[in-house]
Amino acid sequence: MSTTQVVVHSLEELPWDTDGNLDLNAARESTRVTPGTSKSPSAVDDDATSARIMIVDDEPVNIDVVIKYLRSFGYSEFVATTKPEEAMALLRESKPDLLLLDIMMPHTNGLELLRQIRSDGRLIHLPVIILTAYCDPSNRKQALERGVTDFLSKPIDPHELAPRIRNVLAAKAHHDNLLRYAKQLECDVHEKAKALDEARHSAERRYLAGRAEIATDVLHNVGNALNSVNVAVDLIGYTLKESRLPTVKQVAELLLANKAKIGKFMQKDKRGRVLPSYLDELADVLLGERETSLQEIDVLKRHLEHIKAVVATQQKYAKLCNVMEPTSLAELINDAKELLNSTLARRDVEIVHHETDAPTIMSDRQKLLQVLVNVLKNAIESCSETDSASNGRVEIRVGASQPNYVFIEIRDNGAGIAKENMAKLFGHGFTTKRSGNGFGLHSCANILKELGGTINAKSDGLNAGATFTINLPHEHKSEGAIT
Amino acid sequence: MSWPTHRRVLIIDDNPSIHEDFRKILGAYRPSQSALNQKEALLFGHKPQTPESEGFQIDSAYQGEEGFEKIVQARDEGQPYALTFVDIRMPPGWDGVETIERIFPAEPHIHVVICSAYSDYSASDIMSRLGLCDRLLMLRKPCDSAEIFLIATAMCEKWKLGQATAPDPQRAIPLWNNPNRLATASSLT
Repeated sequence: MSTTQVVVHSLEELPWDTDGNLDLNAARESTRVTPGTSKSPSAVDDDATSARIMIVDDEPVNIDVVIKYLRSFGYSEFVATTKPEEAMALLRESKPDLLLLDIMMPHTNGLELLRQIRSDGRLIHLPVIILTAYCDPSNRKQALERGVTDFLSKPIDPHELAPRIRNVLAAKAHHDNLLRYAKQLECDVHEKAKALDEARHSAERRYLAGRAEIATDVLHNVGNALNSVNVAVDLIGYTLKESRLPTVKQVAELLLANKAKIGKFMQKDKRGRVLPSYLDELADVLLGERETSLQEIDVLKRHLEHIKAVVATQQKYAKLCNVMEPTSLAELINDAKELLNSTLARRDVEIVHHETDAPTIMSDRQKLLQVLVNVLKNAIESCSETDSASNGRVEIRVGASQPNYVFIEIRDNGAGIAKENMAKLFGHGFTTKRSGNGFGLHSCANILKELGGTINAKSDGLNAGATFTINLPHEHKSEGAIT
Repeated sequence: MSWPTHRRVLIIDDNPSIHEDFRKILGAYRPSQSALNQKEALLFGHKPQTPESEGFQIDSAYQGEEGFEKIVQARDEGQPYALTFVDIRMPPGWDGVETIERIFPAEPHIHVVICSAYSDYSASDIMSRLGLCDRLLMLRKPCDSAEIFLIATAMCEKWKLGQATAPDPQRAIPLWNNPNRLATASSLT
């Protein structure tokens, strides 16, 4: 989630640092306005006299005079010092709205003080009026370059003092208003961005929950169908195993044993006499068995068709659900690494992510994550399968390839790919893992194709490591994409 | 009172295929072959190998509430069910656990087998809601036919034994140690 940072300078009572960066959280909580001015700063003229004025002059008499003048004009808040070395501390502590600064003070260069003031982020906009007995143009020029707001000549003419101060304070009030407005705007933007992000995440969560719900239903459906398949197969098996067919052989043996006197056997022997009706009943039973088995095979077919249909629907649905959203590749890679944390820890493999300006593209984030995790996992696992003595190392690089395309390259120094396997690598069901089901790379290739991208692999052979490169467009228009 | 010679089993599941499956497994489709067996004994002098099962009388309910009502009705008619197989997911009505929670107090002797798929309640959820007792078993779907057949046989035999040793079913105290249920169970004594 990106946040905008605006550098704001203000004399308001807010926690901010010497660079003048505003703590946004505190900014939001702050309701106070410039101390010393009124709470509704739009009323500039009326309340300007509540401004706090600071005076720095080595002559106490001068200070008294100025204060007397200013009091007569309605100002009442004053801060003063005759010690210029204390000026900076006093400034920071009392946060005046205006500073009257004597430029000619022994042991202190007033201009130097001005420079210090202007280099402090918190004071850079403080109106400073320099009191000077000299009209030296070079002095004035230097002062102006150092950022002085205005001049007042000594001896101070009270009729000039009041309007200048009023003007300066008015300008400052406008300035403060603007800053406050800008700050409020920035807070609002920040809030909105956060809310938007929250909404997006919650929408994503609901979408996934919805998908999970559907998946559970599908599983239940397929589970039931499999149940029936099981039972049908069991019954066919049982019927065949318990079949009375073997007794036909026994009947034949009985007849053969009595072949010599078959007529007498059939008419006189107890067994011979029951044989014809037995054969008839046996035939019915055997035909019944066959009927049962045929019926169960029909049931089997029915349920297997059902399972096929459910799976096909899911595949179609999955295809339609490409949720295209801005995807930060840097975040994606970090997410993939996190997901594979335990795999990494177990295998003592080092992942080096060459962080550059990883672009943001429009793609299906979830599916891309799957692909990335798959390929990365392969890389990590192949590192621990290699015979080489060097430590397992996986390098990830991101960058721009052709215009409008980006690539993610995952290079490992592991077991490598045998030459004869290269062609089959992305084929269905191909795996070199003992417990692999061949699902991974094939489905990765399919997913990437759906997203308008490609994946390819390079390897110098066994134990020579491998490099997988995923190419993706900045934006891919596919059918059935949901944005 | 007389107890039935047939073993009454009730299947409670919303999926009709499951009912078909149970009927196949519990031998409803196996024709009686006693006549043939006698002739074979005469002809070949050996006993038949197929074990003869007494068979089950199988009934169906497609919703939890329907199953509960059938059980109550059977009890009231003096022909109680010995065993019931209950599915968990049966939308739109009660699920399996809710159904059994109502069945147990109403029918203190019936044996219950829950049929659950992995995606349903976890085993510990089920145990904590229904308690542990001598009349509750659980099977995971997809089910194994042989397991179902043996379980049904054993449970029905056990039910029969229970009837024999407790002449008045109204006075039998169910062995049911779920503390939430003790109040209800004792109300039947």
